[in-house]
Amino acid sequence: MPQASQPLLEMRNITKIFPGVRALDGVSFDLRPGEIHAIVGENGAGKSTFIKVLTGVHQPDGGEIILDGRPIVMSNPNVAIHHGIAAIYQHAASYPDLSVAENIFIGHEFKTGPFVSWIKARRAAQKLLDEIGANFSPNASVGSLSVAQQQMIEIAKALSQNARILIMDEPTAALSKKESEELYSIARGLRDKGVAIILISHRFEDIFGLADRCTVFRDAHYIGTWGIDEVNESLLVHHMVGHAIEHYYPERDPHPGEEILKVEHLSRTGYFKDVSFTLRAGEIVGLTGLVGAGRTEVVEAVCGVTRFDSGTVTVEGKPQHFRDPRDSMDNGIGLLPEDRQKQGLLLPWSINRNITLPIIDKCSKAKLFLSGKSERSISNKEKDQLAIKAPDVETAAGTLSGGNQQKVVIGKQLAASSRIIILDEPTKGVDIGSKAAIYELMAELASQGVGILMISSEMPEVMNMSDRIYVMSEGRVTKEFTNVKDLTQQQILEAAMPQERTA
Amino acid sequence: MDKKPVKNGRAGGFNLLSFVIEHREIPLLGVLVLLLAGVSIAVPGYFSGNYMNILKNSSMNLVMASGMLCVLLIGSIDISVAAVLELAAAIAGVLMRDSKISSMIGMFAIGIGVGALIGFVNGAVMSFGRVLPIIVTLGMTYLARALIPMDFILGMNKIARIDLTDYFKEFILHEYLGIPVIVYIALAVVVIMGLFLKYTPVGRSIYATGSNEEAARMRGVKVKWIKVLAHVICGGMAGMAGIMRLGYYNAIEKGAANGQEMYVIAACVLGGVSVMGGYGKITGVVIGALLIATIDSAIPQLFMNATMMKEFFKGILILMAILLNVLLQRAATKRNLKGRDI
Repeated sequence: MPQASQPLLEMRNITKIFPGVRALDGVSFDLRPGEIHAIVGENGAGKSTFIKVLTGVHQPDGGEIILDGRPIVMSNPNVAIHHGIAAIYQHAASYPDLSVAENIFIGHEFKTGPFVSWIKARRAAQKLLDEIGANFSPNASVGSLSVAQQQMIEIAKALSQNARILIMDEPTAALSKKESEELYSIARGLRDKGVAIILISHRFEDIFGLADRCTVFRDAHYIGTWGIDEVNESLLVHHMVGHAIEHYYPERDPHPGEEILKVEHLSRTGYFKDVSFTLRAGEIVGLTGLVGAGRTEVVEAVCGVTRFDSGTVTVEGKPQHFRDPRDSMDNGIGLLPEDRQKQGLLLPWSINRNITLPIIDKCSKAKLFLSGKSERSISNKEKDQLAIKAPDVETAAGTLSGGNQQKVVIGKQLAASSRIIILDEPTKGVDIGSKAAIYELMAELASQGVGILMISSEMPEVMNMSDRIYVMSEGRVTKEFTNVKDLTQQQILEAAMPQERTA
Repeated sequence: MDKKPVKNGRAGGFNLLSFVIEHREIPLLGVLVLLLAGVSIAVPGYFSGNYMNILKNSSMNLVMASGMLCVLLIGSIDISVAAVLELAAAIAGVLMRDSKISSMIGMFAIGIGVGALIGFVNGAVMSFGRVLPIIVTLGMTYLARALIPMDFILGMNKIARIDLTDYFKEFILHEYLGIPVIVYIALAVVVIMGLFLKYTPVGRSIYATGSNEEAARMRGVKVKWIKVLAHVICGGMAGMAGIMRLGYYNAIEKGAANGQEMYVIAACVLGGVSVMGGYGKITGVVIGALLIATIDSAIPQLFMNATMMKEFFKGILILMAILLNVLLQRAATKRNLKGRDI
C-alpha cells in the first residue's frame, strides 16, 4: 500500500527537444517506494520520451532527475540499470532461440573463473520464476512461450538486476483477460515487496485495477497527479484531451459527390477483421483509434502494400485487389505512409527526384530518356504550390524539416494526380505552421473533388478536419460518426478504448 | 549538370567536401594517375608499351563489372558471374564447333542469352523466393559449372583453337585505328550502361530500389521486377564477357575464370560503389577496373616479389576505399542533418 514517505525518484522540469518538436516541456513526476504509479496520456503526449529520459536512452535538454535525494545524470542505459531502474517494453526484446535462463542472465552472467556457469544461472532463474509465480521451466526456449510468459521473463530479468523501479510500458496490450490478471498479481506482489512500478497504459482497467496514483501528460506537458480514488474515467479522459482546440483549421463547405472507395468486410488474420467503410469524392473522412488498432494495416492492405484475406475493395465502381502500390497508384489511389523517413522518402535524394519518382515514366521522352527539364518543371510547380521551404528543388530531402518533408511526400502524390488520397498521420512530428499548411492543402484538394481518408490519433485534427469519422479498436471498426458537429472527444475516445468482448 | 556539386541546403558555391561526397571516384583517379606516373618514371617506355595490353585484359572485366554495378546498386550481389561466363562461352563454343552457329552476332546472342537466362533465375529466386543474394548465386555458381556441356559431349574437355572459325578468332582482336575490337566492345558497354543508369526511368528505379527499397515500393516502383532485371543485366554481361574471352584466348574450360567474380566485385568496390546499394557510378567502376589491371601489370616492373606486392597493394587499396566510403557517407549524413532547419 502507498506510504507517504520520501519519494524514491523525483523528476523535475524535464524538457526534451527533438528536431522540430518539443517532446517534453517542463514535465515533473515523483515516485514513492512500494507504489504503482500510472502515467496516462494520448498518443504523442510524451510518455515514451519521458520513459526514455528516465532510462538514459535520451538525454534531457533541461531539468533534473533525483534518486534517493541525490541528483543523477542518466548518461546511458547502463547507468539506469546500475541504479536499479528497469523497463519492460510492450514488445519484449528477447532472444527467441535462447533458453529462459540464458535470456534472464545474458549480459550479467554468473562466472566460474573465466567461464559462464549456466548451472548457477538455471538455479537462480528457477528461484526468480518461483518468486513471481511463473510455471515454466528455465530451460524452455523463449520463442516457444506466449507473450505473457515472455513478459514474465522480462520481469525476472529486471529482478535479477535488483531493480527497485520497474517500468511497464503497455504491459497488457497483447494479453488476454486471464493473462492480464496474472500480470496484475505479479505486479502487486512486487509492490508489496517494496518495488516501485511505473505503469504506462491505455487501458482503464489496468489503471483503476492496479495503480495507486495517476499522472496525466498532454501535448508534452504535465497536467497533474491524483490518487486513484480521487479520479474516475471521465475525469481522466477530460484531463487527457484537454479543451485546447486550435483555430488553424480551414473553413470548408463540403459537397460530397460519387462514392469512389468502398471497402467491405475486409479481414486479414491477426491484423484486422470485418472492416467496412466508404469514401466519397470531395469528402474528408477521419479514421481514428489508438496506436495498434489496425488502421495503418487496413489502408496498407487496401493499397496493395500488404494483402488481405477476405472482403472486397471497390474503387470507382470497379472491384479491385491490388497486388502492389504501383497498381493502386495507377488506379488513382495515393497512400502517404506514416513513417516518412523509412517509407515515404529517399532521404539522400533531391526534392526533385523524390517528387518525380512515382511518375518517372511521364518525365521521359518516349518512356526511354529522362527529361531533366520536365522533371524540374513538375517539381518546381509542386514546390511553389506547397510552399516547400528549400533553396531549390535540388536540395536533398534529408536536410528538410519534418513539415517540409511531409510536403514533399504530398507533392509526390499530387504529381501522380491521385483521385483518392490516404494520409497516415499527416501531421505527426510537424510544426504548427506546416500543420496549418497541410490542412489548407487537404481542404483545397477536397474542394477539387479528391476523396481524402485521414488516419490520425490527434483528436482535434480528426474532429475539425473530418466530414465523417470511423473509429477502430483492436482490428475492428467500432463506430461511425456521421454528424461530427455535436461530437465530443470523450465519445470518440470511448469507442477507441479496447472493450472486453463477450466471445 | 553532372559536375555541379549538390547544394547543401544553406551555403552556395563550391565546397570540396560536397564535391568529394558526390564524386567518390575522384580520389581513386588520383591514385591511378600517381601509380601510372610513378611506374612510367621508374620504367621508361612502360606506358606506351603496356597500356593497350592493360585495356585488352581489362575489357572483359569492365563488361562484367558494368553488370555487377547494376546488382550492387539494388543492394544485391552476384558471385556466379565467373561460372556464368564459362557456361556461356562453353555453350557458344560447342555450338560453333558443331557448326550450328558461325556468325559473330549469333555467338554474342547465345552468350548474352545464356547469361541473361541464368541472371533471370537468380533474380527470380531472390525476389519471389526471398532468398539472400549471396546464397542464390553461390548455388548458381555450382549449378552453372555443372551444366558446362564439355564433360559429357563427345568426351571433350575443353573448347580449343581448332573448334573456332578463323573469322571469330580474328575478329575480336582485329584493330581499327590501332584499337582492338574487344576494347571497342567494352567501351560501348560502359557508355550504354552509364546512359542507361543515369538517363532512363528504369535506371532511376534501380537507384531508388537500392537507396530505400520500402520507400521505392510505396512510391510505385516495382522493386521485385527491378531486382530481377538487374540480375538479368548482370548475367547477360557475364555471358557477353564469356564470348569476348573465347575470342581473346580462343579457348575455354571449366574453371578457367575461377576467382574472376572477386576481381569484378573488387573493381566496383574500389570504384566507390556502395555494397549496401543506392550509390555507385560507371565512371568509378571503370577507374576501379583499370586500377586493378594497372597494379597487376605495373607491380612486376617495380618489385621483385611481384605476387606478394600485387596482393598487398590490392588489399590495402580496397580496405582504404571502403574506409573512405564509410567516412564520406558519415560526412554526408552529418551534412544533411546540419542543413535541417530546427
